[in-house]
Amino acid sequence: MSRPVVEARGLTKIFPMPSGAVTALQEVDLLLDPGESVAITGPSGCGKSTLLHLLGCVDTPTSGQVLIDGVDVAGLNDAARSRLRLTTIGFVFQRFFLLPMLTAGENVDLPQLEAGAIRRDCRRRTLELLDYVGLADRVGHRPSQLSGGEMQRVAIARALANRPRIVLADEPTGELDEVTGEQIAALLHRVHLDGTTVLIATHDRNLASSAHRRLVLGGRDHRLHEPGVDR
Amino acid sequence: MTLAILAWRTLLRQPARAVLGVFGVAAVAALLFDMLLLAGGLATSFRDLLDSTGFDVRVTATEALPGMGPYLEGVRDLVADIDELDHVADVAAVALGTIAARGSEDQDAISLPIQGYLGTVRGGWKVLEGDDLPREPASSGTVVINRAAAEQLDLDPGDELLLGGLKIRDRWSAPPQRCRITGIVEFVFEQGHTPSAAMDLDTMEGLAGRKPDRAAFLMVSSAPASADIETVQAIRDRFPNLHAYSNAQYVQQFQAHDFSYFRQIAVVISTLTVFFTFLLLTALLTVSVNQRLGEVAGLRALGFRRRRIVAMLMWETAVTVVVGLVLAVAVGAALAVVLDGILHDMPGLPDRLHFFVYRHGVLVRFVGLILGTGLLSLVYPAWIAARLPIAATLRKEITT
Repeated sequence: MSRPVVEARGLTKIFPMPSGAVTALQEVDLLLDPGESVAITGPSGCGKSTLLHLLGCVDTPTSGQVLIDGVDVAGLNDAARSRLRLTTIGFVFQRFFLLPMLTAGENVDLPQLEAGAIRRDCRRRTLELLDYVGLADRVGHRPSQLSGGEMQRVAIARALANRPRIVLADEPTGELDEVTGEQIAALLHRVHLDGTTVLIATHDRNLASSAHRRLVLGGRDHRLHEPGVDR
Repeated sequence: MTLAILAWRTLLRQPARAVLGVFGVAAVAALLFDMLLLAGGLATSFRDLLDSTGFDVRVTATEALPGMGPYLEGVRDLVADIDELDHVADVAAVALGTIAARGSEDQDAISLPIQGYLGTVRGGWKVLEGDDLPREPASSGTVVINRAAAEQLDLDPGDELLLGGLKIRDRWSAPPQRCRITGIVEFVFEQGHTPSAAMDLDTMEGLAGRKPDRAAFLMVSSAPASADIETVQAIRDRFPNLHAYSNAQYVQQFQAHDFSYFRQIAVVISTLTVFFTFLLLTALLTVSVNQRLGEVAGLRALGFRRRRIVAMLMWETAVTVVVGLVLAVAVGAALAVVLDGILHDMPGLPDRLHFFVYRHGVLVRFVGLILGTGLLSLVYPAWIAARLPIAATLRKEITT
C-alpha cells in the first residue's frame, strides 16, 4: 500500500480575536492517497481555506499534525517548508496571484527557475504546460491581456510546473462565471486523471461533483464529514 | 528570470513612481555630494594655493596669519641664516604694502597693494604677458602688475608705472618714482578686480625712502631630501622665537578655526540629506511592498524563500539608488559650480580659492553613504515582506 500524500491528524486551528477566540477547525483528520481527487465543500467561513493553508504549509495549526509524504511539517524550518511547497505542492488561488509584469510563460517559468531548473528545460516545460491548459498561443501575453479563465489556466500551469505530488486549489472558480468555471473544473479533473493528487476547496457544486471524493466541512463541530452524515 | 530582471520589471510596472523615486534620490543625494565636496573643499583648495607657490613652509613673527601680525625684523640676515640650514633649499621674504600708483602724471592715482620680495622671487604669480621680474640685482626699478592694475592704469609691459609722490593742485610736491613694467601677471592669491603689483624688496623700500629691513613672512622650500616637517623643526630649533608652519599645519590651523563654519554646515546638511534619503527610500519601498502583499504572499506560498523575497526588494532598491546616484553626481557637480560661484562673490577671497572641490575619496564616501542608507532603508519593508503571515495575507486579499 502506497504512503498517503497528505495526512492530517487532529488538526485544530483557533484564531485569537479581540472579541474572543474563533475556532475554524476542530480535530480534523484527513488522508489523501496518491492520485486521489477530493473536494471539500461547505459554507463561506467554515474553514475550507484554513484547512488548505495548513495542508499547504503556509500556516501552522494550533494543535495536530500535518504529514506530507510521511514527513511531519512541524519539524521543518521556514526554508525547508518553502522548499516543500516549491517542489511537492502546487497552489491554485481564487485570485490567481499571477505577477502582472511577467508574461504567461514567465509566470510559469518562475517556480521552475526558483527550484533550480535549467532555463532551456524550463522553457520547454512551460510551453508543454501552456499547451496542456490550452494557452499555447498566449505564452507572451501579460495577465492584463488575458481573461479571468485564461489567468486561472496559467495559474494551474504554474502550479504544475515543478511536477508537484498534490495540487491544492482554493476556490479556483470563485472569480469566474459559470461557463468558465466548468472549463476550469474540467481542467482540474484532467490534472487528476493524469495522476496528480488534487484537493479542492469550493462551494461550487459542479466543481465539487467532478472530484473523486467529496467531504463537507463546517457545522457546530468544525470537523470534516462525508456528505449527508448527520452532525 | 533573475531577481534583478524581476526587480526591474517590478519598477517598470509603476514607471511614474519609479521615476519619482529615482529623481527624489538624485535630488537629495546631489545635495549630499555637494556637502561632501564642501566639507573639506576649502581646505584642499587653500592647500593647493599654498603648494602652488613652490614653498612648503611659512615663517612668521607670531602665531598670527601672515600679514596679519607684527613684521619680522632684520629680515635680510634672517633669510641668509635660514638659507644656511641643511633642510632648506630656498627662502623668500615677503613684505606687504600699499602705495598710490598712476599710469601717467595727469592720471588720478589708485591705491595699489604691493608685495616686495627678498630672495627667490618665484611662485607667487604666473606671467600672462611680457616678462617676469629679472633676477637680482638687475630687478631693481622693475615691477610686475596684474591685469586689473594694467586695465585701470591703461598700461602694458614696457610702460612706466608712477609710484608714490605727492601732488597738490596739479603740481608735484614730491615727485613719484618710476618703475618699468616687465610683465602682466596673475597672482596666486589674486582677488577679483583688485589691482596688485610685485617687485623686489629693495625697490619697495626705495619707494618708502628708508630701509626698515622688515617682512610680513618668509616662505621656505625644503631641500629635496627633507620633509617639510623636518624643515619646520629645524627652523624652530634654530629660531625659537619664530613661528614656522608647514603648509599642512597651516591648513590644519585654518580648518580648526577659520574654515570650521563650512565644515559644520556641511556635516549638518549631510546628516539631514542622509536622513531624508533614508525616509524617502523607506517610504517608497514600504508603499511598494504594501501594495503587493498579496503577490508576495502568493510567491511565498509557491515556495519562494524569505531571503529571495528580500533579495528581490534589494535589487529594486539597488536599481533606484544606483540610477539616482549617477544622476546625483551629474546634478551635484553642476550645482557645485553654481554654489561655488555664489560663495565666491564674498569679498576678500582669492579667485583661485574654491569651496566645492573634488578630492580623492569623496566619490567612494558618497557612494558608500548612499548605498548604506539604501540598505538601511530596506530593513523595514524587507521585514514586512519577509515576516508577512502567508495564510492571513492570502485570506485578506480574497476578502478585500
